[in-house]
Amino acid sequence: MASVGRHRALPPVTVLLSLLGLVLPFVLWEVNAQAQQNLLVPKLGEIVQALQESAESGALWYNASVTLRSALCGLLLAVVVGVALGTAMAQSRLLEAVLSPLLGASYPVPKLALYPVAILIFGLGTLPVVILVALECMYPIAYNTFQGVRSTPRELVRAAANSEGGPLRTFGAVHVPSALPSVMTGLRIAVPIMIVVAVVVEMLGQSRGLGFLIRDAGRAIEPALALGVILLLGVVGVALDFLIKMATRRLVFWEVAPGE
Amino acid sequence: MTAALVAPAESGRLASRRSAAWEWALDRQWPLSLTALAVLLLGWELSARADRIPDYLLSPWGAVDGLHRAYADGMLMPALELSGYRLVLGFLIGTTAGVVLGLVSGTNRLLGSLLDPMVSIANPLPKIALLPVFAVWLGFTDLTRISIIALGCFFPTYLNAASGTRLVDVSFLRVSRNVEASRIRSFLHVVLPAALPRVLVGVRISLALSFVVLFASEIVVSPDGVGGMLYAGFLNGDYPRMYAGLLVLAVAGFAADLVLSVLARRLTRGQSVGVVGRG
Repeated sequence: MASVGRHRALPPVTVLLSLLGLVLPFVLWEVNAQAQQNLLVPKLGEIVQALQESAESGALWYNASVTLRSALCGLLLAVVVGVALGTAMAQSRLLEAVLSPLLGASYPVPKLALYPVAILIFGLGTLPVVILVALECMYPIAYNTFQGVRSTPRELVRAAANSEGGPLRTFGAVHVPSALPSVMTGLRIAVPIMIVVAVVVEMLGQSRGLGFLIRDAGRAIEPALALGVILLLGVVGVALDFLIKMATRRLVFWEVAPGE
Repeated sequence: MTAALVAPAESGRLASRRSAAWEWALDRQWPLSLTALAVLLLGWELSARADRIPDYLLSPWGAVDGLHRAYADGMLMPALELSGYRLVLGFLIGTTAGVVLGLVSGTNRLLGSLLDPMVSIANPLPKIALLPVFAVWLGFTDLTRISIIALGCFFPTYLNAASGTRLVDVSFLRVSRNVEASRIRSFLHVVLPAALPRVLVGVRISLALSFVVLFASEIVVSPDGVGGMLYAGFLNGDYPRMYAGLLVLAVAGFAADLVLSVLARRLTRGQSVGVVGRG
C-alpha cells in the first residue's frame, strides 16, 4: 500500500525492509527458542511437528470441523438477522428510532459475558457457541447493511417507482445492489470476530473444538500444539477474508475495489 | 382535500400537534427506544413475577437486587477494583504502544515498511487464544491477563493510527514543507490532527475488545475479579450474583465507551470519520 500521492516505484530499501519485517518475527522466535532449549518455548519445527501429530491422530481435523461448523452457523445466523435488522431500520424511521440507540448502547457491552446465560438457556452442546458468535457478529453486519441500504441513491428509487416496479422489485433491483458492497464490508469485519468468539467460548467450557484443544494443550504444558493451532486459526482467518474479497469482486463487479 | 377544508379547526390542530410530537420523537430517537426498552423490561419483570419464565432468567429487579447484595456482603468492590486495575493497565499499555508505533510507522516509510508486515502477520491470529500459552509462560498471574489485554488492544489502534496518517491531505504537508516547518512541528500541526479521528476509532475498538479479553481472562485462568464473580455465581447456581456481574460488566462497558466518545467529540470537533475500519 503506497502512500498517498506517490506514484514512484518503491525504492528497493523499503522492499528489503518489508521482506525483513516478514521474516524477522520467525527468525527472532527461532533464535530465542534455540538459545533457551526449553519445552516451554518450542522451536518452529516443534510447532509444525505438534500440529502434524495432532493431524495424524485425527484430533485436529475433528476439532477444527466442530469449530468451523458452529462458527459458520453463527455467522450465517448473524447475516440473516443482521441484514434483516439493518434493512428494516433503513426502511422504517420508527424501527430506526427504536433500535439504533439500543444497538449503539449495547455495542460496547461485552456480549461474551452472556456465556453462562447462553449455557443455561441452550444447554451444553454447540448451540451456545453458535448463538454467541451470532450475537457478536450481528452488530457490524446490521450496521453496515443499514448504512448501505440508506445510501441508495434517491434518484434510482424514484426512477424505479416511476417505472412502476412494485416495492419488492424496487428493493431487489435498486436497494440490494447499492447495499451489497457495504454488506460485504460488514461480513469482512465479522469474520475475525467470529473466530475469536467461537474459540473463546470453546476455551471457556466446551469439551471439543479448537478452543478446547488450545486450552487442553495449555493444561498439559504443550505450548507447541497450542501455538500451532493458533497459527492455523490465523491462516483460516486470512483464507476466509480472501474468499470474501474474491466473492465481493464477483458480486460487486461494477465497483472498483476501494483502496485496500 | 375538501374533507380537510371542511373539517373543524379543532381536530385539525390536534392532529397536526400529534404528528409534530411524533416527528420530534422520531428525530430524537431516544424517547422511542427508551419506551421500547421500558416496555421490554416491564414485560420481563411481570412474567418473572408470574413465574412464567425459568428462574435462571432473573427478573431485571432481581438483577439489581443481586447487585445490591453483592455490594453489601463485600464481594463486589474488591472484584471491581481487581478487574478495573487489569483493564485500565492493559488498555493503557496496549493502546499507547499501538498509537505511538502506528503513527511512527505511518509517517516514517522505512519503519513503516518494517513494522507493517509484522503486524499484518500477527493481526489475524486470535490473541485471546494465547491465554493458555501465556499462562504456561507467566503463570496464572495478573501479568498474564494484563499482557493479553494489552496485546489485544495493540492491533486495532496500530492499524487505525497507521491508516489515519494516510488521511492527511498531501497539499497541507506541502504547505508545511514550504514554510519550512520542522518535521516535529508538521507532525504535531498537520499529521496528528488529520489522523486523530481515525486513531480514536481504533482506541474505541480496543476499548470494547479489552472488556471481552478481560472477561475471558478472568474465567479461563483461575476465576476472580468481576468475571470470576459472575462465573462463580453461574457454577454455584447463585443467579443473582451472576446477574450482578453481568450488570456491572454491561454498565462499565457502556460507560467507558460513553466517556471515550464524549472525549473524542471534544478532541475532533468539526471532523468526522465515515465507516469504522476493520479492527
